[in-house]
This record gives sequence, C-alpha cells and structure tokens, in this order.
Amino acid sequence: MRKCLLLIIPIALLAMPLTLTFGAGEVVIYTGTTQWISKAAADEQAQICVDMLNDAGIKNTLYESDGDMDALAEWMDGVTDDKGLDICILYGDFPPTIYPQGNTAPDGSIAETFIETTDGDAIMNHADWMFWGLGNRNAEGGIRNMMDIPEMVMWDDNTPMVVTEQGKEIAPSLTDFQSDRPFHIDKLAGDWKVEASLAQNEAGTRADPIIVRDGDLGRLIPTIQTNAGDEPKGAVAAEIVIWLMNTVTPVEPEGKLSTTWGNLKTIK
Amino acid sequence: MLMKHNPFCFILILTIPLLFASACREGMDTHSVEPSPNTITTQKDSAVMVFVPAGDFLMGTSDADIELYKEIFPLRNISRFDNERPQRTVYVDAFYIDQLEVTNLQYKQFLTETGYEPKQYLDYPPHNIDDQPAVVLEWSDAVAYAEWAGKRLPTEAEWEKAARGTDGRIWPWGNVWDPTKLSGNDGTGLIDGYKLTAPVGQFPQGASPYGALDMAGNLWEWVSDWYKEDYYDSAPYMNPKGPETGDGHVLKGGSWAENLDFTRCANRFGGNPGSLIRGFRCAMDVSKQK
Repeated sequence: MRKCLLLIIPIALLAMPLTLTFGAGEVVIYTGTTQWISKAAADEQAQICVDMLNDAGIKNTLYESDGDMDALAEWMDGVTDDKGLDICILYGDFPPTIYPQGNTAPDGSIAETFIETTDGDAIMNHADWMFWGLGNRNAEGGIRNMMDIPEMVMWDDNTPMVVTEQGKEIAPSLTDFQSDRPFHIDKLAGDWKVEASLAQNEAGTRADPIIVRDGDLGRLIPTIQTNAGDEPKGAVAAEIVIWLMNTVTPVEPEGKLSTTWGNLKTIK
Repeated sequence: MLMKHNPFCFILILTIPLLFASACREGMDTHSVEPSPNTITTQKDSAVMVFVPAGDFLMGTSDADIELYKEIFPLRNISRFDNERPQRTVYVDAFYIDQLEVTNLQYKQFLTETGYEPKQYLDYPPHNIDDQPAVVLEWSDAVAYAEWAGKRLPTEAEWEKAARGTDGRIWPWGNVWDPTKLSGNDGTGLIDGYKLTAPVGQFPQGASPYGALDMAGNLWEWVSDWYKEDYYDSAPYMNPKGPETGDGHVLKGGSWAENLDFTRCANRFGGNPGSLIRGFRCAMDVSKQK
C-alpha cells in the first residue's frame, strides 16, 4: 500500500497542474441589451457564435433577454477564480448587474473581479466603445476603471484594420475592415500587454480585434467594433474563443507544484 | 390702380423679388458668423438663425456617391449606406435654422426659467461650459427647449438642406475632406485644436452654403423625425416629416469623436445610438417669424 502511495503521489503532483490549468471553461453570450447594434443583428451574430462553439464542443449559454442580467451576474461571480478560462461576450452594453452604473463602484465590481484572477477569464465586446453602457451610464469611465488606465479611449472611426498574420491564423473569418471604436494600443499601461493583435492600422497604434491581458490575470477582447450587423462578429468571436481555449498558457510549473503540494497537505 | 398711376411702385414690386433672390444668394455664399440680412436673432434665447429658402434639394446618397464612397471608404461594407438611399429630390418650405448648436448658456437659461428637469443633460465639466454645445442625450429634452424658445426641432430634410445646400455635396463645405473644417476626431486633437467638443462657431471655414456652422462634427444633432431605415423608399417629395413612428429619432452630423464617414451630411443614425454624443439646434417657420 505504501509503495502504491509513493507511486501515485508523484504522478498526481505532475498531473494536477495540468488539470487545474486546463480546467473546462465556459462561454456566456449576453444580448439582452445591446448598444450601437440592433438586438436583431446581435442575436443573429450570437447564434452563429453559439453554433460554432457547439461544433467545437465548448460549453456555452446564450442570454437573450434583459431579464437575464441577474443570471449573467450570478454566472460571472460563480466562475470567477474557478481555475477555468471563462469568457463573457457582450454586444455593446455593459449590464449594471456586473458593473454598477455611473462608475459608482470603480473597483471591485463583479466584472472587474472576473478579470482579476489567474483564471485568465476574458470579456469580449462587439459594436460600441467597451463598457460605455446604455444611455451613457459609464461613458469613458467604464473602460478606464476596468483597466485602471485613466487615459484609455476607444475613439477614431474609419480606422482601417488590416488582418495580421496572427489574425489569419486565429480567425480565418476575419477580413480587412474599418473599425469605428478600435483599441488604442499606445494607451496601454501598467501590466497590460498585447497577447494577440488580429488586425491593426499601419502605425500599429490601433487594433481590432485584439486580445490584451493584465499580466497573468484576465483579458479584454474588443472584437469588430462597428455598428454594422453584416460583419462576421459571431464567427470571429467563436474562432477567438476556440483559439484561446485550445492554447491557454499553463501556469508556471514550479509555482503550481508548491500550490498543489500545499493543497494535498491541506486535504490530508 | 396704384401701379397704373405710379411707375415707381411698379419698379418697386419688380425689384423686391430680385432683392430677395440676391439676399438668398448672399446667404448661400456667406461663411461669416456675423449677422447678415438673411439672419434673425430670436428674442427668447438670443440665437442667431440663418434663412434657408424654399425649394428643391438633393437628399440622401446617389449611385454616383456610392462609387465615390468605395474609393473613400474601401473597407466599409456598402450596405452601410443603404438607409440613405435612394437619393431623391425633396422640396422644403423656407425656414430658419439656428446658426449654431444650442449652448449650455442657453440651455441653462431654459432650465432656470422653466424649472424643467431634463432626463439626461450632462451638467458637469468639461461639458457644461457656457459656450460649449449642450450635451442633451434625450430627444424629449431637446424638444422641451425648442418649445420654450418658441421654435421646434428641424425635420431631417430641413437639417440636411441647411447642411449641404441644393447640390448634394458630401460635407457642408464641399466634396473634399478637410479635418481643419470641423470639430472632429483626428485621433490627437491637434488638427482641429480640440480634444473634445469645441465652443460653438469655431469653424467658419466649414460653414454650410446657408451659413450654418458646426453642421459636421462637434455634436450629433437631434431632428424631429422618427428613424426608420427604409423611410426614403416611401418618403414624400414635399416637406417630408419622417415616418409615423420608428426606432428612436434621427441623429445627424457626427460629432467631435467622428471622422469622414459619420460627418457626411447624408449620414443618418437612429434607434440605438450608443456612445454617440448628442446635442441639437432649433428651426422655425418663416411665417412664425413674421
């Protein structure tokens, strides 16, 4: 028996980091309220995304009603820090159940906590300025508080976006287009860094879609920031999700080993 | 009888229309903020209004425009312009329109005098400085001001004619994009000199053919029409006033955060305008002025 335990423990020590790091993530798409894109167009694109995720075997839920705001908050709170990569996809609006409107809780909201763990959780956004909120609930302050970057903006319509080599690899459905609310790479600060720029302007200062990550914490993914409903928002979103789910970076083995050993001792 | 006996009277009657036509032409050519024979100043809100004569103009976007847009916006889906088509000839009666967007000074005067409580008016810095355009996010808050001032919101057709004149030009100043002629967004704030909105009337070089300023950029402007994407398919020739109902109200002109596409005179937004920053200007019937 003792020999058996001696054999099992090292195997467990090696295997657990992998299982913890690659925990099955979930995707939630919310179209209950949309901004700068019609709900009909958002629902159509969301369904395209759902179909592709289903084909890829990725667990997902589509919340189509504004009555689902509470469920969205409950889900987001529940999956935060669960060791799985979870992704929330929004269509322009930023529901007040996950970020109190008017920037009344600039820190510590459900949404901010969601992207501040080593799960690497992500919020993807289509259409309008990220986190602006319907009726100017948060305006510029939304993204600034979420990223803790006071200078962050998302203006500059008619910005030509040319698909990068990485973009072609990650999202084959993505084509060159004009972004109206591109991400401003040159405003990144703190630990935020570009994880993947899928399309960008010639100067490399604006990008859309782009995956930015806060050190080893969460991610933001503005994706096709236009008001039009005829661009492949849903397909590109699904392709980015699939890429992320398949290539999520493992946590450093050394750190994870000590955590795992600590966990085992606690269990014992 | 009078004319038969008084040749001077006859000459006078012949001359009046000529003087009027001349005055109209002068109005179309003027790029001045100064009052002219074609401007009036309304008593209630001390706003200068410019005269827009009755007649036809080209409204919307033509097939030729689309070909041009393919060059200007090569990466934009052409379907983006569907709600501006077909281009058609539209007649509107003569009217006056505010030369400038309604300012905070004017809007606050309205609030003080009436005690009206706006649903969404941005009364905080830097938006609420006196000579800055009033950011009025709710259409009903713009309508309330217009009624107080003894005016009304322009129809979409009136707004577009006031912005582009009769010749179907793309921007108020013509068909060549020029970022120095509006409070727009060049990404830096260095070209037009303003990072956000500009005080009203800072771009006389971007005046419309009738002398209205800031028709492109600064703030999106509310008009009276409901928004319906395909309204142009069935809109009447004479004084169109928009559909009976729709998906929100129409916004025109683009804002300080916009650039080439959204600041076109023919561009129209409605429904769910999102982060668009909105204000307004008023119009008035000529008969009311008399």
